[in-house]
Amino acid sequence: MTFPTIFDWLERFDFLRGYPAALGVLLTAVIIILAWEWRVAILALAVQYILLGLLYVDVLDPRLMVVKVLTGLFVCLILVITAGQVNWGRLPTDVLPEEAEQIKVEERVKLGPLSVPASWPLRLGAVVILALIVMVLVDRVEAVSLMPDVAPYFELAIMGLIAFGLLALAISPEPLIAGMGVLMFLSGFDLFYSALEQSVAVLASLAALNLLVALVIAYLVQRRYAVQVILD
Amino acid sequence: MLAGAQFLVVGPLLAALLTGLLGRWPRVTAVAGAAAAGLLAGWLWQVEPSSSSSFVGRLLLFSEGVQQLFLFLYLGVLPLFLLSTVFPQGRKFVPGSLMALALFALALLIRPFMLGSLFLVAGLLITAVVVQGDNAGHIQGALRYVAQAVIALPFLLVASWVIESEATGISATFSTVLILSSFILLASFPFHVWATSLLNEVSPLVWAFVFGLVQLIGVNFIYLLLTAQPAFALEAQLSQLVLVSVCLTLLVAILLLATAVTIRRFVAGILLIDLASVVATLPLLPELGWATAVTLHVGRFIALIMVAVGFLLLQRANFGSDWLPNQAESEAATPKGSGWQTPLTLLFFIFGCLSLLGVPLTVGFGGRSQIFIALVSLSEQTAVAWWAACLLALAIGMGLLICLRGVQQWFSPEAYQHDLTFTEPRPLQIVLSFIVVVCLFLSFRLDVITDFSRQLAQYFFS
Repeated sequence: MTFPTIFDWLERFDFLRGYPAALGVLLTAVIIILAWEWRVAILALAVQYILLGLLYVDVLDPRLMVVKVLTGLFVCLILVITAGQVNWGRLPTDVLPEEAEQIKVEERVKLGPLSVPASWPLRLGAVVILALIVMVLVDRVEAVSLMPDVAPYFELAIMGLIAFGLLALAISPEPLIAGMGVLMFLSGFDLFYSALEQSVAVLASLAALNLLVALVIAYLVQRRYAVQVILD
Repeated sequence: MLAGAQFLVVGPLLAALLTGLLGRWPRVTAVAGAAAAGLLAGWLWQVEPSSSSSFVGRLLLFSEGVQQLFLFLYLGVLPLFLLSTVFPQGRKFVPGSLMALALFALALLIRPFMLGSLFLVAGLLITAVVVQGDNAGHIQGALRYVAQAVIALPFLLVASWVIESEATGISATFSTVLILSSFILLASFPFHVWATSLLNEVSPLVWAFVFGLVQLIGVNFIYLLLTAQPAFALEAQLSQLVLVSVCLTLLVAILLLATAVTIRRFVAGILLIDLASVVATLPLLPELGWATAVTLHVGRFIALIMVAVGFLLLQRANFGSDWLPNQAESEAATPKGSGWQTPLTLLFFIFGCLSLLGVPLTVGFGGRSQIFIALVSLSEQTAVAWWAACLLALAIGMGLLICLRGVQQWFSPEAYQHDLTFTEPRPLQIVLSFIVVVCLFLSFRLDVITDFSRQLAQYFFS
């Protein structure tokens, strides 16, 4: 039995390349901003990195693309471990709500059968408006003159990731989601820069920087939910 | 045997590792960090900068400019580490600072500039960990610091790519992205939010590290990129954009000063004045602009150390957290007349604030006067420079007024009615007086600072 190679996998998922991958990336970005459950957001980020790999193949050697995808999955692993250590943003199991008066739980509103955070409708509105702006910009604004001729779906993914990344950073009340916004912004730029410059040293350094950003975000999340804050 | 450039990177990394392992004993860590900084400074003092070496197959250019700059940085970080023995900063401050300095050295030494940009941002990310330290709960300051570093990266990388690819016909793109990256890194409007957020949350000694030392590296990197692009000249439109941003930053500073009820907010206001002044050096000729920026930074660093130490001592004195005089919510927290209990601490703090403002007879005056004169001479070309000069004068005037009002309240003839948990020991009074005298002497010998800045600029631009 032969193990499938990178090229075999690419051939198998060829139907996802192009617009499906770009739209998938944007959909995962929307999920990250709107999800109130950290597990869902991190899973969406992991899927985003995999779909980004299908876009990277258009500008990079498939072996370099694998490095990018693996880096993204390691980033998600770091975030999963961190989220687990802070009990996914909830109170530790051995702390009663009466003991943790310092932590203000976000109010919830009923939307049909769902109970969503109070800021969720605002976030949904912002996402919709931004999605429209991104689509208009991709249609009307010329791609940055530095870029070689790239497909429209590529520009859509770049602009969408950068825009949604900044939005997540700006409006998210949770530091983990805000941190994912930073990572999305970095992914969007990484995609743009990969089309511009294919130096292995720079691409490897960008991958290392992604990991460093994830570690710093993880540290800040741990500080945010440190036990002494909860019980202070 | 490591070459000079390689040692400048590996040395602080080893020191960071060692001090990190000693983290269980904070004072030992601080002393070890200070010793490492002193050793590195001593090594930099006597080393002959070699022309080039390599690091992981990439060229490292170790010039006299980098040597002098890092000598200043390690001499600057040494007192910060020593002060952290008296005012503990947590387990991350010393090792994190050393690791960040190693990455910054790599950023300035390595070629191509694209890699330099990446290492600069990596250093800023490590600095974010230093900013947060061991503090729990509030992370907005550090998170915004991370955000500004990551958002600046694309602009720096694109500017570096333009230089390395020697692309022609896109100098406008280069200038624009470089100016935008400057706005972000130097906390100019509208990217000043990270600076004010940081000042609200973090320890004062970290202010001196971030705004006094780390920002100088960012300024240096920007000027390196500026001068690496042949025949670069900041177009009139971009100069206008820079000056408009300076004006808006100064307006924000004035607003902060007008609404300052706490010392932190007041310091944020006067620091924004200095940040705007550094941004205002960009439209000047590169060598003059760089020399002026260094002069401003040296004055800022000395002033911030004084402000930080004074603020920490005031907090220890339990004057009602960090309320400005006459702004406290209740009579119990009003520190009117309390200045008589710790006069030298307050005078030390006020002198630091005045130095940060850049008024005459302080170490900050050299840089402030240079930028003021530059703005007035630029006003012949553009009216925005005239507005910038007026706003600068107004902002400094407001800061001075608040300082004088503070002095009047703190040294009010009303007796301080509350128990004092801290008294000013004689050795502390002697040390504070000595530092103030040294700074006053420096304020009469501002040529020491301006000569250093000019020499540093010559090393980089020769």
